[in-house]
Amino acid sequence: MAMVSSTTGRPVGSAPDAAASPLLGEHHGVDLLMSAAVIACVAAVVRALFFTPVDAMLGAVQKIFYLHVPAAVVGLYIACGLLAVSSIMYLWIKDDRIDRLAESSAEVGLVFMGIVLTTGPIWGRSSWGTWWAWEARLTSTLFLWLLVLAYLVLRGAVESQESRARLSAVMGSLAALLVPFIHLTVKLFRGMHPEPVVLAPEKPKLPIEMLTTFGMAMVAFLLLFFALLRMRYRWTTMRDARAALLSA
Amino acid sequence: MTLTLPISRVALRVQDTAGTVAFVPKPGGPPDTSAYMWGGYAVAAIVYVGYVLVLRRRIANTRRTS
Repeated sequence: MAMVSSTTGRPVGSAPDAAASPLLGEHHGVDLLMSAAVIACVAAVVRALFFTPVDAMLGAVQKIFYLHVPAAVVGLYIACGLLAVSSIMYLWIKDDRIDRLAESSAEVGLVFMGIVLTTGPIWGRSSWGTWWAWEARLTSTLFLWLLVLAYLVLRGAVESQESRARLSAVMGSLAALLVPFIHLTVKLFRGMHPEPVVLAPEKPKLPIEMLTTFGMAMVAFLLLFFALLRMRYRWTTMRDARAALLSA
Repeated sequence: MTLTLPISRVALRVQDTAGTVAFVPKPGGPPDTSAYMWGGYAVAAIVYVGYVLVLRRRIANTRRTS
């Protein structure tokens, strides 16, 4: 007996209804969200590189902060948070759209976490004298990246749409449990990674010029994340519609 | 502990030539680490632009074959 989604009323794995999903419809012309994200990113980068003071101790390499920290906030907290919430929601209401959202946020989050894991060592090589240290913050972030990668590999390995969605929802919600642990690593373990300077319990330890640039970078990365997520979700919807069409 | 030397001379004396510490401030200002900065920004630009291109290609392929 075919399973039916409780919210859409469609059989699980069926072709998404173009009329019900505005994201599925043919998209032509300029992607306004992506355009806004690109403009915001360019503005943030120009401000960071040319109009923000150089750190007195670390020099210009400190400006990697404006990439590294927003990418970490978006990749770990927003993308993995969305992955966890949508995975749990899928297990509850079994809606294909939520499964597609989980898949999309996992892949886009993987890209942002990849930026964290590449810009961090570049900064570390200059500031710490080494590309990598097997300390708690770095190692647990790498571990999360590998878990999210495994989540996407798992999705590609399971044939049945329903099994794939259910298994990956379990794995996605478990993988995201690592995020609070990663957040606390700088408090729980002695390591080289500095404690938060912006989201510190007391007031931020940055001068206002740097804080403004950081705020701009945060807005730009958030826009970029949602633009990429929307694009990835659109492709996932098209792919599933095509697969359902071929199997019909 | 009481400092018996002028601060400028203390700063000069703590220069680490053996490389045993990660960073010792130079008297003339911060070190030139701009190559690392450009490297970080270049990596981020390549990754994001590359990912957008991958997504666009996926969408185009799916649209073409359906």
